Amino acid sequence: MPLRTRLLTFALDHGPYPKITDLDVPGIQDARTRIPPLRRPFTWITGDMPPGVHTRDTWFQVRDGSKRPARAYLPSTPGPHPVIVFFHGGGWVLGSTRQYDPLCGLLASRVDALVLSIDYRMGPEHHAPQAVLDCVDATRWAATAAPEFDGDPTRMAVCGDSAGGNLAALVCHAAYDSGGPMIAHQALIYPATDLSKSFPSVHENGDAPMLTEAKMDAFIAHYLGPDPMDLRDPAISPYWRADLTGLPPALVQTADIDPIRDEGLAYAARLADAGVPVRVTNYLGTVHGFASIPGATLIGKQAQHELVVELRRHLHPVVVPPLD
Amino acid sequence: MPRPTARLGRLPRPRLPLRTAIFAVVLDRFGRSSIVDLDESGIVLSRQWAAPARWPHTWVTGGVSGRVSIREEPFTARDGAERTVRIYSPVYAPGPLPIVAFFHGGGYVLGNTRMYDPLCSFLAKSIPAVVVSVDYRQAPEYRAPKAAEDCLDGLRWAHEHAATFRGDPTRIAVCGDSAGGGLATLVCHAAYDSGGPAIAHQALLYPCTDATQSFPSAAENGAAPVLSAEKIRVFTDHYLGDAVDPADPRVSAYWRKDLRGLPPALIQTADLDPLRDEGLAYAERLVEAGVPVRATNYLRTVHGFMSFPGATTIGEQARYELLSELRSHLSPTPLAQMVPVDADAMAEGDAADAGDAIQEAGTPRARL
Repeated sequence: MPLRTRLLTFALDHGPYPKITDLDVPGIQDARTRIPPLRRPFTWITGDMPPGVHTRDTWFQVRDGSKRPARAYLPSTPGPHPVIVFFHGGGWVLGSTRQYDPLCGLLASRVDALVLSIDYRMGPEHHAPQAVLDCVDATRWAATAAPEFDGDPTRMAVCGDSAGGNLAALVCHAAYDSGGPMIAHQALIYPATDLSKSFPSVHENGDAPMLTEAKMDAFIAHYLGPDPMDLRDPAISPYWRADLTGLPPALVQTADIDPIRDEGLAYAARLADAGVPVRVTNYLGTVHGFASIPGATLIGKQAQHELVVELRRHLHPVVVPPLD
Repeated sequence: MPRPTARLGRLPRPRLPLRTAIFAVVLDRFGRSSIVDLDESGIVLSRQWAAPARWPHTWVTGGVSGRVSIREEPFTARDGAERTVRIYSPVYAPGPLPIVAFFHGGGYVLGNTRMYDPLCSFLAKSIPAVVVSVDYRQAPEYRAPKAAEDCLDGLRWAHEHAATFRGDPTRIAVCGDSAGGGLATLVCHAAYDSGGPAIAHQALLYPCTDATQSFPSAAENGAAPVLSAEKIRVFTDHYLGDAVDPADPRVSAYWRKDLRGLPPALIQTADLDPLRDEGLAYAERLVEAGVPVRATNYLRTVHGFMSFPGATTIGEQARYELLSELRSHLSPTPLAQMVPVDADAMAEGDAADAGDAIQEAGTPRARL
């Protein structure tokens, strides 16, 4: 691991920051509001909000009638823009849309897309599969509401990291099963695809920086609640869905030093076996969460570039003139 | 005219990492003479040189694996000339092994097979495979398309004599960097047109695909470190002479009309490289022709980065990608056949056994 990654992850893991393994419910609610400010020196690590991207806070209605917030990132270029529905990470328990301002702003500016970041309901207040249902409803809403934001709902992608990658994958399953909306690409950043922890990296990297097996257990316990579902239920663990044919083309990025590396790679392999076009990249020398700390890694820019290029290819198809 | 790489859009160009910048300055200011200043005897002398396999050189180039045996064998080209191939065999891997035919870079003028001992021995050990590096004839003594013909003859020799070096003639890939990447593309075209041998994969490292230099990066990165527009012009003049059109598909893979039926490809490009856009454009034409392609443009690095991985920040990542792609197309079991381990066995602490079981199934895990 490069020195800068070692230093930051040591500070995060050993500094006075809240850890999911010893947080109660008020502590969790407090931790969700703690966001690194968008100013130096923090932006050296997290990246900054690109100039020209405007944010607008909005809301959408879920199937049970409640209203949930969403955060729209609008590029400054003339539209209509393709749409990226983004689901933030944080183990279905922590995280917020605002925490992902740098990444969502980057996608809006460089992919030249409307990004809708979804504030889905999380554990332990709301148990599985509430987060999935919220995200599915949010994607349907995005398909109908995109024109309000100068978005083009015929060109839509989903993206998410960690637990958000899990939700993005499940949204694709739901969209396929219910015949819509049409999703052109799924960008899964170190996704959680198997809550039963059945792959070897969970043990191999069980004490890795950023995410440990103990933290995974705590997240899953909060998410599932006192009346747990089967951990291999395909409604929460995308790896365990029987048939993956017909799903959208995928990008899967994993971190080599990450307990959930192998479940991401295995899901990518199953997608490829099912005939889905997949690009999978395992980034060496880096840890879970690298997309949120690009400045503290050596491959941050490279991984962002890959994400942007893949989304662009699928959202901005170009008509190719024949060779004369 | 070739179209610009529209899908990439305008991306900011980050500067070079310090180690790459230092290496580039040392190479360009204090290194051996540039091709621009070399006469014919200087070129012949320059071809003799390869970085010694000892530190501090290996800090930059990577070491030569001791678990790979290296030997040379003669083969006869189509015009009767005697050439050699340099064969890298992993010592401890049971055969028959897949074959990677490797074509070195150097603008069709410079370079030799020994220079690529670190990369070729790494591939031989890690895939594992027998790497056959072809010592093709170079310009200006031999003009286009002699180098491409020698490379195809070398590949055919490897295909026919696979049994002599524990090779499996049904699993062949081609790989090359820079001019060698261009030669690898042309070998794939020739093999397709002449009905064999079958090639399972082409790994093209910052390949030359367009001798006309029509893509925007040729001007944009014309003054880049390691390879400049001026050097490209001199290399191309040496290789083509006056007789060959630079847009002839026998020297410029991009200008071949029909790319259908070619082998799956990996194309790695360097962002700060005049050849970047011709590599990416060739990748897009392959995609349009229905060829499975993985293209990766490495940021913050320059032409030739696979020869000096230690002077870059993405050297290890790029080697890992090359290895994974070659292995997944050459190994009989799909690369990423990852199977979950029985949850109870994991809970009982049999993680080590479980890991072994998965390792046998052939995972993309590779320690570099």
